[in-house]
Amino acid sequence: MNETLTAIAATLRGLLEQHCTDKIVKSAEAGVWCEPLWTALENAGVPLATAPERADGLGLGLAEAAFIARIAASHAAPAPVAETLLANWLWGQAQGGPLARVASVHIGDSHVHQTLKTGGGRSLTGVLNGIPWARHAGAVLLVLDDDEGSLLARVDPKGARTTPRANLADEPRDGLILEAAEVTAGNLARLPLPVEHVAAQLALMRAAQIVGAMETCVTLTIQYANERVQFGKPIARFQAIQHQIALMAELVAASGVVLEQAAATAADPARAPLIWTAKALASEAAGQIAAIAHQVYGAMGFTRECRLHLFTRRLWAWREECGNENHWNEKLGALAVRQGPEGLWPWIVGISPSGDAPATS
Amino acid sequence: MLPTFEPTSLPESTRTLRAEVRDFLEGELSAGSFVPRPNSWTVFDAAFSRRLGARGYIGMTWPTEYGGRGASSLDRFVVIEELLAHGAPVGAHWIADRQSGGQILKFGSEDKKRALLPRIAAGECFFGIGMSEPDVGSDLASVRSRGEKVDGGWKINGTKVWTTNGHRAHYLIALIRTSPPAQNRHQGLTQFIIDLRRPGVRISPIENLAKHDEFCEIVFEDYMAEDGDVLGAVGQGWQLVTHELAQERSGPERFMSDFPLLIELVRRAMSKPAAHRDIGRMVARLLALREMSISVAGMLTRGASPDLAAALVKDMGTQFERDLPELARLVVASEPRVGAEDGYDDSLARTILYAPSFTLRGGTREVLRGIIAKHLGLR
Repeated sequence: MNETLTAIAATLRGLLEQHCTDKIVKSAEAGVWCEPLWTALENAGVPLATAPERADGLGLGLAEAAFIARIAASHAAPAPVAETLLANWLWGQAQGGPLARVASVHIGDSHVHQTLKTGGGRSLTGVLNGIPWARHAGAVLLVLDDDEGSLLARVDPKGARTTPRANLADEPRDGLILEAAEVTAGNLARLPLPVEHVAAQLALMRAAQIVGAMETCVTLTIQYANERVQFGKPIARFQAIQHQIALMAELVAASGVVLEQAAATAADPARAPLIWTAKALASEAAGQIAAIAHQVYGAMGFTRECRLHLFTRRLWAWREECGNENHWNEKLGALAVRQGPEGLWPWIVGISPSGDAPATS
Repeated sequence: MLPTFEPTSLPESTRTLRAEVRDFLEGELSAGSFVPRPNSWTVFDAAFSRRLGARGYIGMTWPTEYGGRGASSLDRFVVIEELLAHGAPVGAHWIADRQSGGQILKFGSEDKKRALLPRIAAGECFFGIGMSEPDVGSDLASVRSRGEKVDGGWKINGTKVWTTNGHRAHYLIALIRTSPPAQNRHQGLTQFIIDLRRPGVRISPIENLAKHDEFCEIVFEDYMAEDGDVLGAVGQGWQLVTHELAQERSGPERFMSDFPLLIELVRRAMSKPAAHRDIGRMVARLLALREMSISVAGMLTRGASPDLAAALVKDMGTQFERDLPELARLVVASEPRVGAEDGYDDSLARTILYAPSFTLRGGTREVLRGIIAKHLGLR
C-alpha cells in the first residue's frame, strides 16, 4: 500500500467514524442525502480519487477504488462512494475530463434505443431500472453497445424522469426514463473496454463493499459474543459459537485476498476471471456471514435497534447486485470446462495476477 | 484483528522453474513412470523421489551446503503445486521435505544437519511423523511415550500411530515426554530423531479405507536414543512441534489432494453445460485457496510465522477436498470403483475413500477452528 493510500485510509476511517453514526445511516435510508458526509469525503479527495489529475483527481486506479469502497462499506457509509469512484475512473479512461460531483454507472445494453444526431450526438430512449443513487447523481454513465464497440453516454438524471426505488438496505436503486434524451458529442466517449468487462468492474466494486461489510459483521459478532452472558459465561466460551465465528473469519479472509488480487489487475479484460471469482466468493460468503451473525446475536439482532442489520441488509442486497454467485460461477465454470482436462491446470495458474493471462473465451 | 492474507505474486523467475517441472513431468508421464492419482502425496515411490532429488526439487529452500539450492518458499511452492496437479507419486520424500528436514535445519545439531539433510535432498532418506498415539490425537500434549535419562542417552518406550509411510521410512521425528506432566502440560516434552532401523522398534502397517497401507503403528521397546538425537533442547518439544505443525498445515496438498478428480470431472463435463455452475463454484474456491497458499509461501519467505494462516488454509482447503467428490457425484453420475477403466469412476472412488482423512490428518477441523477462535479472542 503506497503512502497516498495509507493517508487516505486514515483520513477516511476518521471521517466515516464521525459521519456514519447509526442515526445518520438510518436517516439516509429514509431518503435523506447526507451532504455533510459527502462534503467531508470531497474534502478528503475521495470521490475524485480515480479521476485523472487534469480533471482535479488523484489519478488512482481500481485497486485503490476497491480499497476505498471496502472501507466505506465497513462503516455502512450511506453514499455512492463505489459508484462515483468507478464512474470517474471510466470517464477518465474514455474522455479524460471532469464528470460530476456524484456519479453512477449503469449498463444500458438492450434497454436503450439510440438514434444518431447531426454533430455526433445521440438521442436515447428507454426505461432503465436499478440505477444506484440516480436521484442524487449529477451524471449517470450509461454503457452502450454499437457496431463499433462500446461507448459511455453521460446522462444528467435531472433532465430525465427518475422513479425512486431502493434495495434491501434502502439504498437508492432508481428507475430512469429516457424519452428522446439528447446526449451531445461531448458527453459521449468511446470506451476502450468491452461492455462485459465493465459489468465485471461493477461486480468488483460490489465485491469490495461486501468484503468491507462482512469484516464489520465479524467484528461486531466477536464483540457481542464476548459481552453476552448465558449459563454463567460469555457465549464466546462455547465451542459451538467459537467454531461458527472461526468460519466467518475464514470466509472473509478468502474473499479479501481474492478481491485484492482481482482489483490489482481489474483494468485488464484478460484478467476478468479473477474478478468473477471475487464476486462469486463474496456473494456466497455474504449470505453465510449474515446467517451466522444473526444466529450468534439471537433475538436482539432481529430488531431495528441493533446495529447488525445495517451490515447484514447491505450484504443481502449487494450479493444479488451486479451478478450473484450463480451468475459468475456459471461463467467461470463454463470457461474452466472449455479448457479441457489438459488445459485446466495451466489456465488456473494463469488466472493469478502473476500468471500469464488466462483465456477468457 | 481479523486474519488477512497479504496478496502475493509469484516472482517472474518461477516461470522458468515451472516450465522445467512440467517438462520433467511430461517426460515421466510419457515414459509411463506413474499414473496420476488423487492424494498422490501419500503414494510412496522411492525411485521417483530419487529422480526428483537428482533434479534439485527436494529441500529446495535449504542452504546449498546441506544439499539444498537456497531457493525461496515461492519457488518451492511452484514445484510442489505442479507435482500435486499432475498427481505425481511424491509420498516417499514428502514428510522429510515438508517438515522433518526443516525441523532439523532449524533445531538440529550440525552433525545431524550434515548427516541427514543432503540425503533427504537427494531423495534417498525418508521420514515419518511421530506425534499421534493410540490414546492421543487432538490432545497432543498428553503424549505418553516416555524417555528415561540413562548414561549417554535416553531409553524410549511407548507407541506412535498413523505415521504415514512410517514402515517405509528411515527416520521419525517423535514427540516424547521426558519429564512428568506438571501444571503446564506443554513442558517436559522433547523431540527426538528416531532411527527406525535400530533395535527396539516394532512397526505394523495399517490399511486405510482404500486398502492402501499408507500408515502404521510404531512401538518403542527400550529404544536407545543418543543425546545427539535430541532435536533442539530437552523440554523444548512443544515449541518445536508447534513449528512443525505450522509447516505441516500450510502447503497446497491441503487443497490439491483431489485435483486429479477435478480434471476427470472436467473431461466428463465438457458435454454437460448443466454442470458448469457447480464446477465454477469449486474452481472459485480452489482459486481462493491457491491465492491464500501463495500468500503463506510469501510469509515463509519473509520469515513470518504462518501458524494462524496455515490453520485457515488447512481448514478451508480440506473442507474443499471433502466437498469436491460430494459435488462431483451429483453433477456427473457414476458408480465409483477403485481400478475402474474410466478415470472419473476411479478418481471418484479413491477420493471418496480418502476424504474422511482430509479433515483429520494434520489437525482436525475442530482443532483448527479452536486455533482461529483463540486468535479472535473468543477463548
